[in-house]
Amino acid sequence: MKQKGKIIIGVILFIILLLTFGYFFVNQSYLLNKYKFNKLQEHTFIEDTLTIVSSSDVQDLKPDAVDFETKMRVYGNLYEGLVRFDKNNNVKPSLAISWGNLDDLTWEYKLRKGVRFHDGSKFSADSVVEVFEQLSGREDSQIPSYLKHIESIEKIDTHKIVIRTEKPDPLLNQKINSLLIAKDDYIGTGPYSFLAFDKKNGLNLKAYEDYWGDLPLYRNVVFKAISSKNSRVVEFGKGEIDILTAVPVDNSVVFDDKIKTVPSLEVSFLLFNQQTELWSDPRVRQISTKVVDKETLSSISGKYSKAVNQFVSPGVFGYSLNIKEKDYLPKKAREEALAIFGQEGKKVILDLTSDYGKIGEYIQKEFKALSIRVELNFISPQDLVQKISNKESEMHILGWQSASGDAGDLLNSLFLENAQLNSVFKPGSEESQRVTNLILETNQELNQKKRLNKLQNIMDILVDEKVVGLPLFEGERIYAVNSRINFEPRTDGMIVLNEIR
Amino acid sequence: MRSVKTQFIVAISLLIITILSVNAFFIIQGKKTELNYDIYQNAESFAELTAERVINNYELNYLSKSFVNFDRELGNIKALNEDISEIQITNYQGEVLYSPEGVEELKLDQELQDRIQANLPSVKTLKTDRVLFLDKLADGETKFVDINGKLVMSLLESEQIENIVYPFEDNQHTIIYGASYENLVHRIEQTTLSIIILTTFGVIIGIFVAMILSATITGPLKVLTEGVKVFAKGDLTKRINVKSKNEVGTLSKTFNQMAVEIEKSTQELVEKERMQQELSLASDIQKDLLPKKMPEYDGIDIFASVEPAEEVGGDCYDFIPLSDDRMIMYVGDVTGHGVPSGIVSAISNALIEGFSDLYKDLKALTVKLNHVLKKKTRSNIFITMVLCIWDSTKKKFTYVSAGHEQIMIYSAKTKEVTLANPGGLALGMLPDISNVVKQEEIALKKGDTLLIYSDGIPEAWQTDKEMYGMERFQESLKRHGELESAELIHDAIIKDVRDFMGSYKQMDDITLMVVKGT
Repeated sequence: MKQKGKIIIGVILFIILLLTFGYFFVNQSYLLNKYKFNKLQEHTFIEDTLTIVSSSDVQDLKPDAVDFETKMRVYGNLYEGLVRFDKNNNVKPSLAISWGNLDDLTWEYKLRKGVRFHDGSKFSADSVVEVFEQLSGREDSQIPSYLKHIESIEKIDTHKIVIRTEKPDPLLNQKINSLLIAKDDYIGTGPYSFLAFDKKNGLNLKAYEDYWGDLPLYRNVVFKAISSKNSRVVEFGKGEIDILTAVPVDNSVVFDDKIKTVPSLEVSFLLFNQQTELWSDPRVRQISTKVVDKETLSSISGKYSKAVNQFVSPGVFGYSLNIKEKDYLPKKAREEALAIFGQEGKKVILDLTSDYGKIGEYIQKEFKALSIRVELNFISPQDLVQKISNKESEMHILGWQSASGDAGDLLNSLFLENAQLNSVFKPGSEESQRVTNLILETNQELNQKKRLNKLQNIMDILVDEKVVGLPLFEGERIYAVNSRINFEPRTDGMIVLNEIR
Repeated sequence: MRSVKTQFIVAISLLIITILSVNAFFIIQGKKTELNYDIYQNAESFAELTAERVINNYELNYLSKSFVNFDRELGNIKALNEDISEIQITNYQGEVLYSPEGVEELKLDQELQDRIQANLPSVKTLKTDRVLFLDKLADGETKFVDINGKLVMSLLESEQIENIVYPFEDNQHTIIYGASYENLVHRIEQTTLSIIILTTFGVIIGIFVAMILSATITGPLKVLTEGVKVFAKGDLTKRINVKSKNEVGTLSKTFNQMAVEIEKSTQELVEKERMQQELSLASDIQKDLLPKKMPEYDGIDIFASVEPAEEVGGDCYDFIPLSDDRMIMYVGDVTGHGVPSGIVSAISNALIEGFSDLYKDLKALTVKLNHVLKKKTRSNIFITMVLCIWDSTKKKFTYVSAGHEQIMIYSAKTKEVTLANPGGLALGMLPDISNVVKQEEIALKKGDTLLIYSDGIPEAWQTDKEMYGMERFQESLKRHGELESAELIHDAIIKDVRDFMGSYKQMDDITLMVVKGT
C-alpha cells in the first residue's frame, strides 16, 4: 500500500508538473511579455546626484527664457510643451498626444490626461490657454515672436484645444515646442521638480515620482556654473562632474576619450544695424566682407569651430549652396574704405558677450585697416538682448542655434519686420518689407522643395546682396562625459535628463 | 551495481535529449530558412516602397547640406525595417553620392557596375556570391533572372543576401540597401532558448516518468528480494505481498506458491524424519526384544533371525528358559507388517514371557495368550504362532501351532523333508480357542533339522508373479540340512531365499528358526 501510495503521489505530481509546463509553454509569449511589462513598471532610481556643469550661470528659470543656458536646464526637465523634439529632431507627443488640421488655419490638439503639475494640480486645456495669454501679453518675453502668427488658443474641452493661425503655418509644431507650460515658482509637469536655486549651489532638481511618462534614472540632479576653466578641468578630473558642457577647448586633450561632440547648428555672426549712419551704406558693408580671413577666424574660434559663409550652418534646411566664400582682400578693402571715409575713419561700438572676446579683438584689428575704430563693449547676454530689442546696438555679435534644423527660425527671429531681435533693417524700409514678405511666403509654403528654394534665396539676399552682417563661425558642441553616464548629446544642445539611460 | 531506476532514468533522459535535439535541429534550421526568406522578401518590398522617399530626401536635404533633416528622414526610413543595416546612394556611373559613416567603401567592380546600371533590382547572395536580378511580374510574383533576362535558379530559402541594389526609376540614382541578419541571430537564440527550456522540462518530466516507471518495477522487486532473503534465512512462512498485475506480480505469486509447497514439503520432511527416527527407535526397541544370543541346550543347536520388511516388523521369536533343561521357543507372525504389527508382536513377546512363569503347559499358555490378545488388540489384528518346548532331559520337542506355517522337518536319516501337522487358529481371532489348540510332538534325532519360519520365506517374491514357494524352500532344506550347524543351515537357506529374491523388494518379514538335533 505504501508503494502504491508513493506511485499515486508521483503520478499526481507528474500531472501537475506537466500541466504547469504546458501552461507556461503555451502562454510563454504572454507570460514573457507580462514579465517584461511588469519589469518595466518597476523603477529604481540611482541615488547618486547627477552633476552637470556649464560655464555660465542663469538669472532665473522662466519657461519662456530664450537664452541657451536657461533652456538647457529647464527644457524637458522642469517644463514641457505640447510637443517635444527627440534627439533626431522628430516632433513627438508630449503634453499633447495628437494633433491635426481641421482646416488650413486651424489645428486641433488633444491633450494628455492624468498629467499633474509638480504641486499636484491637474494639467488641462485651461493651463495651455493661461500660459499663452500670459506670454502674449508680455513685452519682455521672447516667445511672442515665435507665436506671432497664432491668432488664438481656445479650449474646447478639458483636454482639447484648438489653435488658430492667421495664415497657414507648416512650422506651427516647431513653434509650439517653445511654448512651455508652467506655473509660477518654477512649477511644471516635467520629470524633475524644483528643489532649490541659487548662484552658489546652482539649480537643484529632484525626480518627480508622479510624472506621467518614464521616470528618469537619477533621483537628484544639479546644474552648476563654474566660470573658471581650470576649475572645471580639475573638478571633472576629480570625478565631481558628470557632464561638462563648457569644455575648455584648450584643455580638451586633457579629457581624453571622454569628449563627445555634436554639430551645434549654431552660427556666430556679426550684424550691422543699418539704421546707423555707418552701416546704412552698402559699400561699407561690402568692404567689411573682405577683411575677415576665414582661416584666421577658424584658428581663433578653436579646434571645434570652423568659418561659415552664411547665417546658418550646413545641416540646416535652408543652407544655400549658392553663397561663395568671400576672398580675403584687406588691401583692396583698405583702398575702398579710404575712398569712402578718407583718413578720418569712423568709430563704432561692438556689443558682445565675453565668450567672443578673441573674435571681438580680431574684428577690432581687421576693421582698423578700414579706418573703423571698433570699441568692444562686453555685456551680459540679457543686456545684449535688451539693447538689440531697443535698436540701440550699432553692431553686435550674436550666436544663433537653428535648433529645429530649419533656417526659418533664424529668419523669423532676426529679420522679420517687428521681430524683437531685428535691429538690422530700418522698420518700414523697402529692404525690410521685401525680406519680410519673402519670409512670410516661406512660412506658408507647404511644398518642401519650393520652400527650400525660397529659404536659400532669402539667405542669398541677406548674405550677398544686402550684406546684413558677417557670418563668422559655426561650432561643435563639446561635452566631457563621465564614463559611467550614458549620455548622447543632442544637436539642439538641450540636456534632456530623461534621455540619460 | 547499477539500479534499474538509474538505468531507466539515464535511458529516458538520453532518449528525450536525443529526440528533442534532433527536433531542435530541424526546427532551428526551418526557422532560420523561414526567417532568411522573410528578411529577403521584406528587404525587397522595403526597397520598392522607400526608394522614392530616399531619393527625395537625398535631393531635398542632402544636396542642400541639411543633414539634420536628411539624417532624421533617413533614420525614419530605416526605422521601418530593422533588417536593413545601411542605405547608400550612387549615381548611374557608380560614384558614391552618399554613404553612412563607418560603412566599408563600395568596390566598384564590373559586377556592381552592371547591377547599378541595370533596369532591374538585384540581390547578391552572401555565401555563394550569386547575383540575381528580380523581375517583378504583373501578378506580383518575382522571377529570378540574370543580367540578360534569362531565367536562373531562384533564391533558395536558406540563402542569405548581402544587399539589394535598387536602380531608381530616374535612371540617375541607385540605392544600395545592405541586409542585416542580426535579428535572425537574436530570434534563433530565442528559439534555441525556448528549445533548451523545453528540453530541460522534458528531461525533468522524463526523469519523473522514469522514476515512477522504475518504482513500479523496482518497488515490487525490492519487496520480492527482501521476502526471498527472509525466506532463505529460514522463515518459511514468509509470503510476498505484491499486487502488481505485471510479470513481477506473477513472479511473486509463483514465489508464494513455491513457498507454500516448500513449507509443506519441509514440514512433511520434518515429520518423515521424526517418523523415521521413531521408527528407528521402535526398530531398536524391537531388536532389543529379540534374544541377544542363541540359547544353548543339550540336544539341540539353534539359530534364528528375523528380518523385518520395514523398520518394525510383525514377526517375532524368542527363547524363554523355563529351567536348566527346559525352554520355550516360539515364532510368531502378526498380520501385516510395520509398526502396528510390531506393537502387537511386542505385546505378545511380553505376554509369553510373563505367562511362561504361570503356565507350564503350552496349550494353557496359548489359550491364555489368545484370550488376552483378543481383548487387547483390534479385531483385525491376529498373530499366527508356533510355540515349542524343548526338554533337553527327555529329548522331547513339543509344539503348539496357532494357525502358523507347518514346521519343516529334515530327516538326517532319509535325507527327506517333510512338513509337520498344521493346526490351530491364529491368536486374537476368537476369545476362547481351548477347543482348537492341540499340542503335538516331533521326534528330533541327531542330525535332524527343524525349520520354524514365517510365511515371509515361502512368499518371498522374485517378480510380481513368482514366489519362492514351499517346494524351493523344502529343496533348500534338503540341500543344506546336512550342514554342521543350525547357523550354517540358517544362513544357507536365507541366502537361497535372498538369491531368489534378487533385487525385488521384500514384501513380508522373513523369520527363520533352525533347530538342529545334536
